[in-house]
Amino acid sequence: MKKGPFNQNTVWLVLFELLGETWGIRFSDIQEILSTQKITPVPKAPPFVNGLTHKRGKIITVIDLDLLAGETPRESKEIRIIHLKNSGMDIGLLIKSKVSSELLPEELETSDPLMKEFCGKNKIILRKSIIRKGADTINVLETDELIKALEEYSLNQ
Amino acid sequence: MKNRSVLNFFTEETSMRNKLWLGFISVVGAIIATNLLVGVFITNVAVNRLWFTIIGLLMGLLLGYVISQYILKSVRTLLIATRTIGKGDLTKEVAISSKDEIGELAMSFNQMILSLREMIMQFRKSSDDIIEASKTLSTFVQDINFTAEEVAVISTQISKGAEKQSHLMDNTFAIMKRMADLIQVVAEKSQVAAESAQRAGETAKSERESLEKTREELEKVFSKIESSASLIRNFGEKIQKITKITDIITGIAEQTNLLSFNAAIEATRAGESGKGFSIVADEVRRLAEKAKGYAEDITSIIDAIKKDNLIISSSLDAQTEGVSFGRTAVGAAVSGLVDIMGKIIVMVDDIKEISSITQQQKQDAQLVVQDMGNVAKLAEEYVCATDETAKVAASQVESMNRMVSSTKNLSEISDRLKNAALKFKLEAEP
Repeated sequence: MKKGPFNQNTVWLVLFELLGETWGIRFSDIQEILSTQKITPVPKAPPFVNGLTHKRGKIITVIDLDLLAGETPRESKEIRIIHLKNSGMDIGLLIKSKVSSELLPEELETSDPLMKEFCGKNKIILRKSIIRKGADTINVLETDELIKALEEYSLNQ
Repeated sequence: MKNRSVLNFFTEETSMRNKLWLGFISVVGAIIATNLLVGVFITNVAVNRLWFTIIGLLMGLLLGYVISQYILKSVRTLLIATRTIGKGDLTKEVAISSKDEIGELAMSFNQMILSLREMIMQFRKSSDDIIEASKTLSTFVQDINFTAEEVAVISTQISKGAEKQSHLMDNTFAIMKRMADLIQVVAEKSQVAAESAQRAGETAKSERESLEKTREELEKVFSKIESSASLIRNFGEKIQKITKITDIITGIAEQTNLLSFNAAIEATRAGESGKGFSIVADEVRRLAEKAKGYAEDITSIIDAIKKDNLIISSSLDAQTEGVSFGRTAVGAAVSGLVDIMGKIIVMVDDIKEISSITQQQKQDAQLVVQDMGNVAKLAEEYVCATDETAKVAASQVESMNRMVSSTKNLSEISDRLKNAALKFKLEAEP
């Protein structure tokens, strides 16, 4: 559990749509939000890897979050790449929906992870927490767990 | 006869009166001579006178007998000749050469025989000619009869044809009358048309100038429409520029939004010191979102304007084409109308002439109807005449038949005449 910058009980989230639900990523997990960039496909890359892009000298691996979550293929004009903050590899999540931000109370509940199998045996597990906002539920993506799963997947490959 | 002497009393040339006078004088002379001779030889006067008278009478009777025998001989010859002629024999002539009346009678008789012979010969020849002529005439008459029968048949056919012709003429007359009535109607209509054409011609003259003015005005309207189209096209180009600017604004708003996100993230990362900046970044993000929203609204409005402009442009393109076509069409129409006006003006004169001609036609048609009426009457009369002709032809056939029988009769009569003439013997038979 992480704390917000101004209040120990609040957290800033970047919100977007996925699988018909509202998802969020903490500001503290984000290095930068990028606009549409030229993405270079990588041969023999996993199916959820769109390719590579670069920003200020850094090579970013772009991951299609839709494919990772099992979303039906869709087209959108609102495409953003959320460059995750991590000490190891530079990961950019490709978001195909409108992006907004909101400060929410940090009352997180555990939730069942999403599990997606690739190539028969390799699994990617999307772990998330839940913040309830009235009747709505916001899934907060645990980016550390995602990066770890991707690293494990990469090692397994 | 003046030179004739007494001796000539006994010649052949002495006339019968002279012969009678000679006989009488001879008797008287014989009596006187006897008396003289008896007076010489016989003295008894009474006896002498008696003897002398008797001797004188006997001598006179003797002389009378001789003279009468002489005369009767010639008469008998004439009688025989007359009987011969009565039998039809004209071959013989009377042989009397005396110069007296009997001789003249014989000569005349012979002359008569000659004349009769010539006449009979002529008669025979004429009989032959009449027979030949009657035969020829019979042939001709038969031919004529045949022709007359044909004429009768043809006359009957002509009569029937004339009757049909009369019916046809009646029908033709009725048709001509209807035509004349129609021509009269046409003449009246053409008169009205001529008056209308006159007015149309006057209107055409005045409207031709109006058409020229209309063409000029339409040309101005077309020019204005084309300039309006040009202005609207320029408006479309300006809208395109506005769209580009709006896209730029939208892009800037998005970039600003993104920057505000990143600024907020950076402010969060700065902790407590970045709190104020985070609020500013959030305000900037909201402004950027509003700007983007307004830019999107402008884009929507501009899209609507572009759609309308596209419709207007398309309409204007069509209108421009229509204007171009209209200009050409109006030009052609005005030129055509001006040409039509000119032709109408010319046509007015033609229609007037037609009206005049139809008036003349009306009069001619009336005359034709009158003539056709007369012709129809003539046809009826012709029917009657042909009927009469047929009857006459039929009666002619009958007459010709009678003529055929008459020619047969004539031929028979000629034969009988010829036979009668053949009974006369004109030449001595060998």
